[in-house]
Amino acid sequence: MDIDRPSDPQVSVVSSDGTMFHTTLKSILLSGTIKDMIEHIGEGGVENMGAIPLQNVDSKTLEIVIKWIEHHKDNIQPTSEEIKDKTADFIDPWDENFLEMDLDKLYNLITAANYLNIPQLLWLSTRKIAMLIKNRTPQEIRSLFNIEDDWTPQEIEAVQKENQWCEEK
Amino acid sequence: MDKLNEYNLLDIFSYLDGESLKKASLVNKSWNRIISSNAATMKKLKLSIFPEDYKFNKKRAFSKKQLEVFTMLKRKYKNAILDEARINRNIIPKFKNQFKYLCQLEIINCELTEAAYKRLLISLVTLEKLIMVDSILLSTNAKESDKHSIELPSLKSLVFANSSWRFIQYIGKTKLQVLKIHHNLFNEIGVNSVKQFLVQQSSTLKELAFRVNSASIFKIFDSNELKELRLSQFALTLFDLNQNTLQSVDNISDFLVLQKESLQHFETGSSLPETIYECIFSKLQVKSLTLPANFLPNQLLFYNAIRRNEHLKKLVLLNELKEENVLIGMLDLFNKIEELYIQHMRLFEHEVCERIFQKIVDLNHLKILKIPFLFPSAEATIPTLKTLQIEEFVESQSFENFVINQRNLENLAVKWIDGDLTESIETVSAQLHLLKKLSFGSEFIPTIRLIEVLRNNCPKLRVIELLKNEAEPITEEVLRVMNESMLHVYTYSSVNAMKIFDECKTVWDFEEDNYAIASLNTDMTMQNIVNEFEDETDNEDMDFYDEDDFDFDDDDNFDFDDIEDFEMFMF
Repeated sequence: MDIDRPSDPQVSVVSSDGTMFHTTLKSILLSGTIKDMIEHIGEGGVENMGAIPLQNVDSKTLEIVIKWIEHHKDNIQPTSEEIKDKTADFIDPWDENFLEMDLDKLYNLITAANYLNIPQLLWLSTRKIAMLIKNRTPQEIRSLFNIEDDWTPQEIEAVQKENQWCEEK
Repeated sequence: MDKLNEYNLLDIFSYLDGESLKKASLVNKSWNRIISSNAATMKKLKLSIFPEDYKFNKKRAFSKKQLEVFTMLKRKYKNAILDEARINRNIIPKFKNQFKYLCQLEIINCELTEAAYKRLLISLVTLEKLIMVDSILLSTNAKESDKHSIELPSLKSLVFANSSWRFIQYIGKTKLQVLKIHHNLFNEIGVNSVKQFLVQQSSTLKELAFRVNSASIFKIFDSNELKELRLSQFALTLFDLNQNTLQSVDNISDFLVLQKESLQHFETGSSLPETIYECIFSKLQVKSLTLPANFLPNQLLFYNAIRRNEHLKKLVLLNELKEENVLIGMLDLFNKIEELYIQHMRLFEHEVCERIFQKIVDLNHLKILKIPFLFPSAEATIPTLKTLQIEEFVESQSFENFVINQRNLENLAVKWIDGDLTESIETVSAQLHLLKKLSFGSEFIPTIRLIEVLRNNCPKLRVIELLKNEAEPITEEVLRVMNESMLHVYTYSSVNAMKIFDECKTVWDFEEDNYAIASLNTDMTMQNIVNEFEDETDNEDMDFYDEDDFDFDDDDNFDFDDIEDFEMFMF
């Protein structure tokens, strides 16, 4: 935890299962959702503001999120518009390492990043899944993500036939 | 994976390239649905670029949506669609390499900033056809002096429907041959923009079509300014028109007389001022004429004039016929025509239809006939008839009676089939020894027996066109027999079926400019669109519109040669 400075007051958040986490204002403002909430009460009120309840994020996931926002609190965050236009794929090695987690945690992280509106974290985590899908066959994707194959042989044949035209020559 | 909702999945899919996306779409039904139904809306900028060989090539028809998903970016693209996109100047350079080879571009429901539009025009050096529908050119604070026009060196065809008039103000010199304008708000700005544009393009323009709601259209035809213009096809349709507000009608007579030597085809879908009819029929010698059957002029002068036109070879009647006597009288006068298309004749009694049909049968120069349905007129023969298109097959008796007597028939097409056609085709084929091509516009698959009968009866038959039928595809067996008979089978989608059967609309080829049609059928006026747009922007981030002065030099910052990167942006 960072040393408290007057410019970066401490803020508390509570997970859906009731665990309280302490972090700093600067970190938590990376979340667009919380930023909106805090802006409504005004900067002066932050010191006296109680813990912020986050009903859609459980404690395990919140811990991960807080780890990430505290690491990135001094970085300039891209807006979601900028992320949409993002074409370069440079990933901070710290982030790469940070994202090494099991799929279940990753899904929770996506949901949380989405709810908390942290564009960069959402980008990293969805991209991570996209990279897992990339260049894999449908069967590999199914077994990796434990997805049930609900096609009948006739259906899959029809769909494949429909796609044939776009095969590279 | 169940924890993620559709939006999360969409986010994930948006990072995939075309090949991976294609594989992902095969994982399960819900992924397939999400990918194929959202490809179009995943991004606010939806750019679909069709592969070079994209066309309904009869053998393989596929939907545009599929193409959007699986666009392969490694080819040189000939066709592109910008649909529901908001385009600012930063976007265009990203697609610069793709635009470089474009032949056709459709801009539909887009909002472009002026700077973006200018950049776009500059990159379209090979563009031959430009279609603009329901699009808006956003106004910036550009100085009037900055509005220099940009040359489109290859442009041959422009279709412009319900979009900001300022779009055409920016187009400079072209090789334009075809200009089609549909507009619900043809105001003074429109008049001036179009006039100026026409003057600029007048040395090359051959085909001109207007569908507008204002009589101020006539102000455009100033024969002094347009004295270089020589049209071969001209279409003019006025809708929602108040006859009392007609202005400068005389302009157009003078203008039309100038076209006397060149004009081959005239077309209208509405009633027009008498002056125009008089001019068309007494002063011009058109070869082909398209008229609205519900607004046939019944002035004597029209018919007296028509009698003198020996050149007329083709007559197309749009819409529902109202007065059968006018039509019967016309066919009497036009007894030398070689092509006749009648779109509808539902409203008439049986006897009236019979009378009309008798007149048609008497046209002894007729080569091509397109007609809604046939009547049981036995023994009638048109010796010159080579092509027969029937909108609807209802019962076999009238079909067989007529078709069997057309001994010189080479092409036979039936659009809607309600009943058993197999036997009728078998019967008539016994006499149609010259038949070369058979087309069917609704779900019909010939039996093996029919193919064998056709092979024996019609030695020249080479092509059978069928509608693509997902539920009941052609069996291997049928295909084999066809191959043995040296028969080519083309299947096509229902969209294309329309195209095959609706050749009558010559200037406004609606199927070809299919997006333009969509807009023709909405009540949306330009003003509505503008209002809606303004409402919308009130709530939105205005950054988008905040453009710096137009500057070409920073293009290099936006070059994305790397295909991977480009695909990331796409999906």
